Amino acid sequence: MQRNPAMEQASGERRFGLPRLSRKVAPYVFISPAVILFLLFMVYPIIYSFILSFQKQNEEGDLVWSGLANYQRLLGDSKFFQALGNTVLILIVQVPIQLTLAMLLAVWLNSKFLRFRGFFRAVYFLPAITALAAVSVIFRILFQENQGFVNYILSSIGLAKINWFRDPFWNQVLLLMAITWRWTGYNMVIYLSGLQSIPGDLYEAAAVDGATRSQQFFRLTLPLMRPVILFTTIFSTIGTLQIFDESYLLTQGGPNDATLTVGFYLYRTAFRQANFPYASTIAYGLLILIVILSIIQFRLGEKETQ
Amino acid sequence: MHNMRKPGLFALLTLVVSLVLGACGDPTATTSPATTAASAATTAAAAAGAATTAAAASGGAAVTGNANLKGDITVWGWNVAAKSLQANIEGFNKLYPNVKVTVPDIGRLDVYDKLTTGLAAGGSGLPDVVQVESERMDVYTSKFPEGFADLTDRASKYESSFDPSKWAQSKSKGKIRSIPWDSGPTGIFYRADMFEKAAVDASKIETWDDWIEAGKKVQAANPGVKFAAIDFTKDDALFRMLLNQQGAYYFTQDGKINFNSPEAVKAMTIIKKMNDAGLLTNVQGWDGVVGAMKNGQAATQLFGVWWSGTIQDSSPESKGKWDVIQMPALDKGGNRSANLGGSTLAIPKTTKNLDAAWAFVEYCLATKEGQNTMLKKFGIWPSYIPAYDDPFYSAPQAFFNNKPIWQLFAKEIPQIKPAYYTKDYDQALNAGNNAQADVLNGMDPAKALEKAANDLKNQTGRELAK
Amino acid sequence: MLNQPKVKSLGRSTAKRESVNGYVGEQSAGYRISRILMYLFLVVGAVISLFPFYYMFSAATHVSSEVLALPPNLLPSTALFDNINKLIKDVQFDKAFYNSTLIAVIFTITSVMISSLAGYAFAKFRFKGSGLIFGAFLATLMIPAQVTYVPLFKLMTADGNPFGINLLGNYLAVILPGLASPFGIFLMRQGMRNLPDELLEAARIDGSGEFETFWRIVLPVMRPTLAALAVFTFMSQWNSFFWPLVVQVQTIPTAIGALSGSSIIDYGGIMTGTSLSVLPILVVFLFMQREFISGALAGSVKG
Repeated sequence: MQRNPAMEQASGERRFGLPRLSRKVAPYVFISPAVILFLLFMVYPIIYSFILSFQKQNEEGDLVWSGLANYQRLLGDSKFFQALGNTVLILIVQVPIQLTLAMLLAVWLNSKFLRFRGFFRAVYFLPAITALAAVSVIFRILFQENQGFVNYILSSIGLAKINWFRDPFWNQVLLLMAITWRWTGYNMVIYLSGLQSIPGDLYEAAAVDGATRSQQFFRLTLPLMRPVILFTTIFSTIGTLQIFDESYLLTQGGPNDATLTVGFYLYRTAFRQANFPYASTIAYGLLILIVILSIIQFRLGEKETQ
Repeated sequence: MHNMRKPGLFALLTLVVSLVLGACGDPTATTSPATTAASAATTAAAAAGAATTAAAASGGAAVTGNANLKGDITVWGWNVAAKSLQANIEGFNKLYPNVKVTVPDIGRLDVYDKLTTGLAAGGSGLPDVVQVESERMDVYTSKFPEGFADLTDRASKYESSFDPSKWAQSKSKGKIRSIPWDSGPTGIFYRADMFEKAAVDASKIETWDDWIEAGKKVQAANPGVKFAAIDFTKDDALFRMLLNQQGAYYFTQDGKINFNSPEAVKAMTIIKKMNDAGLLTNVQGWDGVVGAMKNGQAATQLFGVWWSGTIQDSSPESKGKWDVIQMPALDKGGNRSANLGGSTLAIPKTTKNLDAAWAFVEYCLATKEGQNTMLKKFGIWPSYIPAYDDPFYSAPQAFFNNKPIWQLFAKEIPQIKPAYYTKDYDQALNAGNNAQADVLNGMDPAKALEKAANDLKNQTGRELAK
Repeated sequence: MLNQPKVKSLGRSTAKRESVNGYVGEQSAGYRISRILMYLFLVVGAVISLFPFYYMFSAATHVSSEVLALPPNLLPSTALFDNINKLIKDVQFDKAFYNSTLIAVIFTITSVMISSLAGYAFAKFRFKGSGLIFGAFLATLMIPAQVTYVPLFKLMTADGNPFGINLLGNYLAVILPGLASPFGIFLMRQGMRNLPDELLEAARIDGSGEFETFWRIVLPVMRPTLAALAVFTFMSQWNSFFWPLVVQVQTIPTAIGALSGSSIIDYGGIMTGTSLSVLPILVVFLFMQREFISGALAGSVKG
């Protein structure tokens, strides 16, 4: 950042055949491509689906206003609340496990003394770059009840076989494991990136003062990483509340909808039942929850940071 | 494309703003929670449609062809079905040389995703012909009543030539919106070698009780083998077969929820008995069912005729070991026929080539030549009854113990009772899966079905049948 | 609320740890044991991460009917090229690969450019409405994408957009909707906030135009963040399934989708197709790992 060879060349020359931008106009020009695309492809669909959530299809298949009827239905929809309960369970149980694990891995993989660092980083990140479709076929084979690989291992070390797809509890465990498998490495990379921006001399100073490595971690690393942790917590919260792939591809909602998520329920309503108005209502119901949770997390995170 | 959505801290400021502005339409404003789902319409009878007439098997008008008909048409279908339509293009073009047909191969759920989106967007971007499973037709015709072209004038003449239970599903509010393609007469595929080992004569099995007794013997004689593999929690195919066998289904003819009917309880009780006798093994999804068949983990499979294609494709090494019987009856001498699966072809209203699209549908589905090409090459079972004249149906099949198994399925067709799917089929399917999961996890059948019925009532606002 | 206890508990354990005094120097036996445990943990974790992939790659070399066999065929077989040929014949996999590559490359370059421009404006300029516009971008993250598909689809049809242009089946239909990425804009803005203002001022004094400053001074400095964003963007487009399907452009995921969903499924083909689709991203990641990791967070620590 200190040296910049481009500087000298840049002076005076007009290499681009564009009119010179004043400092006042420039930012508007810079954001204009993003804003135009945003209005067309984000704002318009969002408003459209918001309006849709107050409509229904009549006998002729035409959309007509139905006031708050969809929202009323949502409040009485036991399936929605079941899906919401499942999703919140993932949020409470899986997100903390995943983020703790990601932090642990990041600290280890940031250590200069570790051998094969690059290899481990790539390996742990690998699950995040894959589309789940084929992997879910493999998971289903591995976790088969009778002759699956996982149960084979379990029984060969003397444990009981687990009915991964039949028992609601273990099905939820399976879903949590699959999500952890896929997303831990992703968060690990974010943490690694954060760890690398902490200047090394802070640690050297701490070591001189006689701080042990665990003290360094808890008294130096964690406080400095707090904004990153908050950042990943909010990311994971929103990602989890919208989670769809694992529920759809791996457990297909699970026994008695034990692993039906709101995302999958919404998809089912929209694309299997062709009920877009109600699907939009579900989306906005979920949105309210996301907003509330994010505000709470942000507020608490702010307090901690101060 | 939206996978990249990652929020940041600053989002929250805006969220506060959007909350204040009330952009989220606060649903808590209506304090009384609705006890029933509000928007479920009452047109359950859509499915009911025709009182089925006995099939006159000899009919079938000749398709003469027309060289003046021109156009390019696209047909959406999936996998084997798409391939079978492709196989028909050559014969079709002999009659209609100037119609160009393209059949891209698209996955099953992918076709639905595209079709649903296209219909919801007013019919844009749809093909000229599309494959839809019969049980899903009501979902579409109820949400998009004019989404598919009305084929009544063109197709009425074929009514007596088609499987009556299928024809009923192609009608919506008295109009024909699709043409039945294939049927799924059910049967039990069993490993003749394993039965022989246990000295069980499959042809003597008449009732479900006989079946369970046979299962015990087969399992005793073949260690490590289970009698049948089903997905306990995500596929209630056996439940649906048992319902249809008794002339019942998820819904009654007038669209009421039928989960708590005596027929449903009987069906679920049979499944429970099988499991209590230790005859069932739980597998996951389609992969699991295919795997269990292939690996000899299961001695039998209870499915529609289309399963024959899967066996031959996935387990070529088991050639000659399989045989087929009809489903056992509930009581001696009772009905042993049912249907599971099968598709229709529909023509989206927005097609610019209605005549050409119809010509293709007619050739493929309402001629012996079209239907039998698909059966012989891909095992797709015609809903078009005149097709059964072909000598192919009485020929012994080497893969299946040298038995003429097609005869058995052909005889079933006229005896299959109609099933009522309604526009809430998807919710009902989920309720059925859940009830089966509960029963196989130990719940009392009547109780599990009661629960499923109430669950479905909550989601659809429909009445219970009793 | 739900996640907060966890952050708090970490805070509390800080206090607890201070009283721990059993910890000795780095060369002790305890230290060596803890290192061995760490390696053990890392290796076990790596095996868990990798095993499904190994299984997938191995399955890609088997014919379809062998894939579901039990016990599983863990050793590679010889059907890889047959599977590839079948993929090409059955679902035009070569065409899908070409489409996917072209779309992902064009999309990544364009999207990263748009994000950097906007991120730069939000980070380094004060202008009316900047807070509101930036906030609006981020707020859209909270809407589940599924509900936007129908209106988006309408926009892609001739009847549904003001220009009367039918974009279905066209690359543009896949590329356009996701171009303005809130995540990308956020990431670039966070990264650029740390740029020293003096650098930009110096450029301006030297007579460099605003766009020129951006292009020749800001972008080169931002390389790690650009690399990270490029990897994220490429990944999401490459794996994107639903949207290309709906707007009728054949990509690798839609080609693989076509192989499933009937009573007869080509498992060998699915495994081969997915293996082939993982490889390019793996290569991109391995080559860009260093820059990618250092840029992934782009200074939002200080955000």
